[in-house]
Amino acid sequence: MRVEYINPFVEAAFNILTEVLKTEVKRGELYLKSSSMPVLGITAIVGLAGDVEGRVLFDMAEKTALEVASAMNGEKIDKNDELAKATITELANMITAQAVTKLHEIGFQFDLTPPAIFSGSNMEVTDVAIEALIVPIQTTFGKIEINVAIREKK
Amino acid sequence: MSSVENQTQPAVDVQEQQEKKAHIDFKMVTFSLAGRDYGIDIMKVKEISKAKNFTIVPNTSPYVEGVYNLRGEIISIINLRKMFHLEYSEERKKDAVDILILRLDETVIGMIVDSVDNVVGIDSSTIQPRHPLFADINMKYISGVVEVKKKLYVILDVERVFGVDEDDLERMRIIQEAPAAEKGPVNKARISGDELEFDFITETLATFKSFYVTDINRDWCLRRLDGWKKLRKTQKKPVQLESVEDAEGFLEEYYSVYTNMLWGEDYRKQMEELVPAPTKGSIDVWCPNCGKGHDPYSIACILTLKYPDRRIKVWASDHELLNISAAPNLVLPNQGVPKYFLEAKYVQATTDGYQFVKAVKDLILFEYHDILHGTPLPELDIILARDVLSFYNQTVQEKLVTQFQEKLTGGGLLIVGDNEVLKNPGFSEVKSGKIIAYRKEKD
Repeated sequence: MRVEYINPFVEAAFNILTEVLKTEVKRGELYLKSSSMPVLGITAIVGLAGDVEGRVLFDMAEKTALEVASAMNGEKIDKNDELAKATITELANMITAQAVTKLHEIGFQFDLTPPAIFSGSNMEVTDVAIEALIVPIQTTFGKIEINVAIREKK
Repeated sequence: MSSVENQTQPAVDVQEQQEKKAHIDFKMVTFSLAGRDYGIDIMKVKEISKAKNFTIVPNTSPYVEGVYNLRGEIISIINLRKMFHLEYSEERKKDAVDILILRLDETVIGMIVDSVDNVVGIDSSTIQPRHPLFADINMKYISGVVEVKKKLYVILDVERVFGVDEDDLERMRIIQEAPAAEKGPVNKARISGDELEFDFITETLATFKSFYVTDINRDWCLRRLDGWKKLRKTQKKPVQLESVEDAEGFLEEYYSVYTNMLWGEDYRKQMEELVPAPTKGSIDVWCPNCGKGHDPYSIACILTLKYPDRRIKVWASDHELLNISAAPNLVLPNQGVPKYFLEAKYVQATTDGYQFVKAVKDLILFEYHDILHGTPLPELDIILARDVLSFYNQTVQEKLVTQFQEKLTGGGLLIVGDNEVLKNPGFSEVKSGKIIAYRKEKD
């Protein structure tokens, strides 16, 4: 993945999560992955188009998702209902949008697709012929993994 | 192939042959391996068998396929192709394979071959001495060559191949690989010691620096070991590498000139001589594992100077996030910039040092990317992989070279490190000064 794309995503994720969760947020070591990886439980996906093609996944355990949704809404949410899903969707949107704005400032034009949410157990995601950058973020509610796969359009 | 009977009966063509057939005093079992015919003294062969599903034994040499229960007797099975480093496809394992079971003094050993052919009787005086031309396998394992009915058989000296009395396979390998058998026991110990020492260095280089000694760099390593020994003697330190620092010291002379530096004027001239004349409107270059980006910047500038009317495109990648993140905004110390970069105005002075101008940066796309994950790129004219291959193990090296070959256009150039050697077919070596490069042969 193009080096210039990395920082905007990492920064956006860090900024937004710190802001909305109001707790301590720590960034783990970034790494690359090309094979299938398990999905933790609830995953939001945002597609990217424009100069590039790709997608961003926001992946977390259901427990983490519910606590994140509770923190963002200021009320206790204890099941994966419409509100919980809408909240996670919004979180994905906020992070991706901020990253894309930063990228726009340095001259890259991306468009976003509306986020979609997947939930279930024992799922895995496989990218064929594209490598994903994993940005693990540790919050007090649990781990959120941001998985970015972008490639240049030829 | 004719039957055993035909082979031994004298009723064949040439008269000369008939005479020879009259005194057959040597019979050999023949088999084929990688398209070549071999023979083994029949007195050494216990029986011929077909088998599959060997029991794998952990921690054995890679050519030991496992053990096999031969009617109650447990025998080791050796894969001859692997032992002689001939190409071997794991696919073959599924079917029963031909095995020659040999009796060597007390030991019984099974040897997987491609196919067992026949028994051929010959007059031992027709056996000719071994010849270096047949050295698909190591010369020292060959006891002679014989021609029977226009077919050439290489006669293997199994005693030498499998050793005589070793039950420890690892020890056996070391002793066999040294040409000790001809030199007597005193020499034997010394050479095995050297081999061990080299093996140990090989192991530690892999552990400390993930530097893998293979055909690509073995010659350099052997040369370096001599110098290293002298150096360590004067420093009164052991030859073996005990830490990352030692390993780095050993590899100090390995790196190509202008590593982590922009290429000087001399290197530029040599490189200009090598680069293929463009066949289309653009020149596409790939720099896998480019570190902080000195190589991609240098090649981009050199190509732009030489072919100002072509579109130059350089893909540069590295799997070290820290290195590659620094690459797009590489800052060069004021002394570290060769003149031609300044004259062509490829760099501009900033408060920290020189930086490349946007026009140059736009030629290069830096990616955080692991080349083991496969790289989708268009057909390339140049692959610049200096000191890249040696840091991957043998299997990966082979895969990468194949990948490089596939990605290069016909006549395209693969540039490896100053101390790296490729022996792959399909590439022809070209040299210019210190630079060793490989031109992909046109289809």
